[in-house]
Amino acid sequence: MDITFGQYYPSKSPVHRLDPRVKLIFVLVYIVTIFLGTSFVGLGLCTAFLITAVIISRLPVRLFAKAIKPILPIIIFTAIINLFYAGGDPLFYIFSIAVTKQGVLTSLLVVVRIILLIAGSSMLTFTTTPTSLTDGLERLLSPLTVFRLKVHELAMMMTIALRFIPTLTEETDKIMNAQKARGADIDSGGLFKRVKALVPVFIPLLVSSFRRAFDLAVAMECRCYTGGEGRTRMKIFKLRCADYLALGIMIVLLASVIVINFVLGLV
Amino acid sequence: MPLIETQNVTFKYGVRTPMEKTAVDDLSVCFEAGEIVGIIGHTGSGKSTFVQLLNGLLRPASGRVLLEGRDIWEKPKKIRDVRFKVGLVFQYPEYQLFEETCRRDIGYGPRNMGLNDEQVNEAVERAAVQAGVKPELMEKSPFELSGGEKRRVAIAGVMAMGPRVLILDEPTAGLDPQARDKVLQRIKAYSETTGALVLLVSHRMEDIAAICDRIMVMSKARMIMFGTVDEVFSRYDELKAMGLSMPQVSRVLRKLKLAGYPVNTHIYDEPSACAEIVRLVKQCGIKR
Repeated sequence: MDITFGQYYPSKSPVHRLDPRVKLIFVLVYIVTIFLGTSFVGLGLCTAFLITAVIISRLPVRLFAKAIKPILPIIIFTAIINLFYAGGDPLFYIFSIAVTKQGVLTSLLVVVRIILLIAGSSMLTFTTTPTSLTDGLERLLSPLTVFRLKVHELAMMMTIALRFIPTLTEETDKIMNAQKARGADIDSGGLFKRVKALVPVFIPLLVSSFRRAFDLAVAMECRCYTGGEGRTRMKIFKLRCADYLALGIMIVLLASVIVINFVLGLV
Repeated sequence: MPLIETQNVTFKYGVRTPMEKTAVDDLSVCFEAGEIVGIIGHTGSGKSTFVQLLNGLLRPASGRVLLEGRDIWEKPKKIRDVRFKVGLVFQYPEYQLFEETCRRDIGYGPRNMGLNDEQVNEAVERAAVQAGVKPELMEKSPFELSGGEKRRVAIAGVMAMGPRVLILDEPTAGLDPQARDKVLQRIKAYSETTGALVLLVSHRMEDIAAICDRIMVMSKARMIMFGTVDEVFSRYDELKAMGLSMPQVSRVLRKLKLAGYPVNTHIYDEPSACAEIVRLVKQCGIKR
């Protein structure tokens, strides 16, 4: 099974070393910026920024191609829909449906936007380990404990879920092979037959997941885990120069897109 | 004609990625019907990959696997038929049990073979006896059984297909001594009664010495030695260099020999070793 999408890519680039909280906020603001930037100039700025970030992070470009590939059908679909539904001056006709100048422009905008969205948010997961990501999320959400939200427990559940994805993938492969060795026919037949053929895989997987969950709970209790209350942490996040610089860049990016769009009204 | 044979088989994991690794490298070997062959090698030596190549779960990058003289990948769509003839019991096979009763679980393989109810039943009964599953367990849920019982039910699930080649990957791992002996004894009996070839992958040299006729040694994706139990275990220094060993009793005899006692070191199982030590004690004249 191939689950490259969103997997951490180890490196020691400046982007990797940024505080996860800063990166989380950055991605949020970046997404908002993309939606605000309804013009080519604005999105051009976002693209230029993203390309710079990719260069600084020293990530291979093929990683992004891999992240975008699975949603390619969605991109094409939205592009086609937008092509026909924009209205305006017809450029040419396909089967007597008018393709307009505005249609071409909006579908181009939509495509650029989706790609920027996916590439930008993949950037976050490529450069941040799952643990520091959930750590950062926990710290960012911690003010919500005032509303009795169990932020630490939520973050711990997320960490555990992420940690077990590769384990369960491996386990699924093993069980599938074991059943194939007994003649299971998983790759052929109609939908119903295929779903039925997966029962011998899912039941053992479920049983072993429960077993793992109990084992993990016992192991955590053995180390005196009692939840978030009074828990201190080994790694204390401290914002460094680079983090402030990143936040500065973020504000400049957001501001310039707003200015370009709403003040200057550039297309 | 050998029952199963590999010709220059090579297999690589993660082809065209930075993690590319050759797990089996240009391996050619023949196995005959009726023998029990032990496969030993340190962790990551390619044993598990090798056995998966034999039943067609993995397809070699180059080279051929011949079963009864025919390339198993001659008709890729018929690969399931190969898996019925070459039964593979994975490590910790009890984690693959899924049916409501042991009877139904053991019958999973035969049902996949397309046998009718009567034939399935016959195969299940035969396999239960061969693997040593007690009749009163047959209607129970496999999840209520003890570890050793579960293991034998899982092994019965593969034996039920009546494979001509039975491969077991660490069948005794994690079992208590009694359950271990029972499993080994059943494996030996299967080979004797059906004339099948048995390949036994194990880290326990005692298990290998107890039931195997020949031993194949793998290291770093290659076959380093292939010979009788005595031929392989008598090359202790080479085995040790590969992170392997020989049965504990043989190591004791070896130490005695090095200490100057006239003792036969070509003994690898416990009963013969005991007899040899008793003989030695008598010869050296120690009184009770």
